[in-house]
Amino acid sequence: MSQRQYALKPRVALEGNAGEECVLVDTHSATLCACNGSAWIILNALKDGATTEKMVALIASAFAVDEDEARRDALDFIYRLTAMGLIDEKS
Amino acid sequence: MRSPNNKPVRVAITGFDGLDNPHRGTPVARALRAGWNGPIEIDALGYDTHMTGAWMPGIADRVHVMPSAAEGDDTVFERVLEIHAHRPLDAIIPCLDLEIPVYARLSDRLAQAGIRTLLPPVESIYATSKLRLPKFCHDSGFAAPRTIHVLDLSDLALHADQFGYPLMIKGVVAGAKKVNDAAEAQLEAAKLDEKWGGGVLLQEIVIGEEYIAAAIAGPDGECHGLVPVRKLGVNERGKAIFGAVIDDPDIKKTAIKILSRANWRGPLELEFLRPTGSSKIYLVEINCRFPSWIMLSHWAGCNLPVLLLSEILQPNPLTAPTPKAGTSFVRDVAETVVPLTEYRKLQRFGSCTGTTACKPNGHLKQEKGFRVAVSGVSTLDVVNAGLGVARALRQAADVTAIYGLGYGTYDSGLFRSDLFDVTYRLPLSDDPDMLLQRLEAIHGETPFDVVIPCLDGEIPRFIAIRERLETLGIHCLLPDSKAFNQRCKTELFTGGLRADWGDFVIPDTVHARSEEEIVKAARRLGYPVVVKGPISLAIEAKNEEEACAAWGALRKAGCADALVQPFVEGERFAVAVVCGQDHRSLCAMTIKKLHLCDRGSTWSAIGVNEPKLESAFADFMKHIHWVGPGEGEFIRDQTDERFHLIEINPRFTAWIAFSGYTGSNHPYQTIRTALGQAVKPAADTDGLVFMRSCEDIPISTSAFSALVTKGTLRHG
Repeated sequence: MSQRQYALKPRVALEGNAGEECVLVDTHSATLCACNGSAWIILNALKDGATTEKMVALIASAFAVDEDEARRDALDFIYRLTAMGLIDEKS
Repeated sequence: MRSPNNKPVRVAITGFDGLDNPHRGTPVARALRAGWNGPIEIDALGYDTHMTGAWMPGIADRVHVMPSAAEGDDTVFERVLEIHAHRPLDAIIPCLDLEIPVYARLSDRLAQAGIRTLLPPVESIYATSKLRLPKFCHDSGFAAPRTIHVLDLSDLALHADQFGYPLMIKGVVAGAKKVNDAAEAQLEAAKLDEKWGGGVLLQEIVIGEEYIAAAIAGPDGECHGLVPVRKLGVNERGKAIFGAVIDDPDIKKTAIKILSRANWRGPLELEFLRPTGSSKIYLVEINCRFPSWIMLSHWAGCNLPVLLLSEILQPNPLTAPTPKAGTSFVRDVAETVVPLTEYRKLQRFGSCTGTTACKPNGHLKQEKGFRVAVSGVSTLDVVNAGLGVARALRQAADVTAIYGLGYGTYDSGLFRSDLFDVTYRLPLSDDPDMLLQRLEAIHGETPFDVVIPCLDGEIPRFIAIRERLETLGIHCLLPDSKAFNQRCKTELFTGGLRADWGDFVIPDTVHARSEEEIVKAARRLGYPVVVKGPISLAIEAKNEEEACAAWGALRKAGCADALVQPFVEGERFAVAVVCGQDHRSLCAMTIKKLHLCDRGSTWSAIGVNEPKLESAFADFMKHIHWVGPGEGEFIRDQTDERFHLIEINPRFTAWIAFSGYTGSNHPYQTIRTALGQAVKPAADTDGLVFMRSCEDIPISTSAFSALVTKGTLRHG
C-alpha cells in the first residue's frame, strides 16, 4: 500500500463550486481544465495533500464504485497531474 | 485615490482611433472610469472627428482635435494650454507611440503649467525603439529574435532571402506582417514603408508561446505594477485578441529587469516569446505606452491606469495588488450613435462635448414577445453582423429573448451578457443535418420563434433546412438557392445581368483563373484595377507587378479564380434592405461610409437620403427574387457621380445596429415578416452618426469552461 502523499503545487488554483462549473487553473500558463465531479473531489483533497488511499476512499464513497475502479481512477488522475507538472509528491 | 474636496480629477488622454487595431486611449479611459475612486473627468485628444473610441458612451467628457505631433512640440504645447485654460487639467496620459517622445520633451513645461505626467526619458524611448531594440537586448543581456533594419527597399530581397521564409516584416513605428515569400515580402514592406517611413525591420520567426506584459515604473524607476498575460488568440496582425493573466515568475523577473535596465518611467508594454521546449525568454518588443488590452488589468484586480494616475498626482507608490491569474479577455466591439451637431462642432471648433451618459440598452422588456436566435457573433476576423442584429433587437420592447449562436469558443459575442440571454455553440460542419439537429436541441432547451443567420457561408445550410425548421416552429426569412447564387460575385458580375440599373451600374468585370489572365484583363481594363476573390478580399493594383502580387495573395487565401474590375475612385455607400416573400423591399436605409478599416469594414457612417439609389437597388433585388435581409455596397464615381455596385451581401450588414438607433430597425422588421406579421417601419431619425470601436470584454473561467464542455453559456 503506497503511503505517498501528493499535493497540488501553489501555482494551481481551483475555481468554482461543486455542482457548478469547476475549473483548474495553472496560473503559470493560464491553462484551464474543466473538471468533472470526481476530479473536483480529488483536487480539493489535494489542496492540503492526500495519499492515494484517501483519494480512493473519497471516490468510492462519493460515486458508489468498488475499490479497484476507484483506485484505477485515482492513479490515472495522479498520473495526468504529474505529467502536467501540477503536483508535488512526498514519500 | 480621492482628490481633496471631492473635486473631480481632470485628465487628458490621447489615442482614440485605430479602428480594428485600436489605439490605447479608449481602454485607458475605460479603466480609469471603472476603477478610479472619486469623480473624474476625461478629455479625449485626437487628430480628427473619426476617433471613434472617444465617442463611445461613458468614455470622454469632452473631445478635442489636436495638431499633428509632426507640427512640432510648441504647437502641441500651445493647444494643450488652450484646452487647459478653458478647464484646467491635472494630468495627461499620452497613449500613442509617436506622441510619447513629444510629451516626454514637454513634461517640464507642462508641469510648470500645472499638468503632470509620468513618462520615460527621451533617451530611454530612443534606446528601446524598434530600431534600437536589438542593440538594447545585446547590451543588456536579453535574448531577442534576429532582427535587421532595411532602409532601402531595393535591398529587401537580398536580406529577406538570407533570413529565409516565413519571416516577420515590421514597420519602424508599428505594424507587422508574417510573409511567406519574396513577392509577399516586397508587397508588405512597401505598405509599411509608405505608412511609417524609415524602411522596415526583418525579424526571424521563433515558434513558441507568446506573452505580453503591461507595467508601470515609478519616478524612482522601480516597478510599481505589472500584469503579465499569455496570448491565447491572435488576429492576422499578430495582436492579442484573447488572453489571460498569468503568474509566471520568469516573465515577471525579466520584465522588472527590463524596466531597470531601460531606466524607465511611466507605462509600457513588453512582448515576449518563449520558444517551444525552451525556458529561455526572448524580448520581442518594447512599446512605450499602455497596451490596448489594459482593461484586463482592471478585471484582474490590478488597474494599472488607476495606479499610474495616482502615481502622477501624488508620487507615493501604492502597493500594487497581484493580478489574479486566469482572468481573461476577448476583443469585441461597441457601437453607438452620435448627434451630427456634436460631430460638426468638433469639425468646426476643434472641441465638443463627449457622450458621458451610457445609452440605455433598449426599452423595458415586455413579458411576452418574440424570442430570436442570431448567429454570426464573432469579431475574430471581421465584425460579424449578428452582433449588430442583437444590438438592434435590444432596442425593441417586444423582443423578450435573444440567443447567440457561435461556432468557436473565441466568438466574442458568446460572452456578451448585454446582448444575449443564452449563447450556444453550433457544430463546425458543412452538414445541414447536423445544424438542424443542434438547432432542434437548442429549441428544446430554450424555444425560439425566429432564427437570423448572419454569416455568408452558413446561409446555404439554413436554406437547405428551412422547411424542416418551419415544422419545428422556427421561422426564418431567407432567399432560395437560385437567388442566393445569383448575387455571388462570379454570377453577379459575369452572369449576364444588365449593366445599367438606372441609378447604379454593375461594373465591367473580367473573370480570370491564372496570373496570365489577370494581367491580360488588367491590360484590357487599364490600371488601376481591383482584383477580387470570389467570396472575400479585394486588392487594388496600380501596375502589372501589383496585379501579379494580388493574384498571389488571393491564391494563398485559397482562391482558385478572381474578378478583375476597373478601380473606381469615390466615396463609399451602402444600402441595407429587407425584402418580403414577394421580393419587394419592406425597408431600406442608405449610409455614406465615413471611416473604413484596412479590411474595408465600416467603423463610422452617416445616414443619407438616396431614394433613387434605394429604389434602383430594390428593383434589382426584386429582379433576382430576393427574400430577407441584404446589403448592396457602392462607390460613387467621383468623375461622373454614378454609383457602381461592388458587392451584395446576402445577409444583414454589420452596421445594422444603426437602424435600431435611427428607428426603422431592420432586424425587428425581419422577425415580424418571418412570422407573417405586418411591417410598418418607423421613419429613420436624421442627424445621427454611427460609430464603432473595439471593446474588450472579460471572460470568467467558469464561462469559458461552460462553453467548451457544454456548448452553452447562460447569462444573468
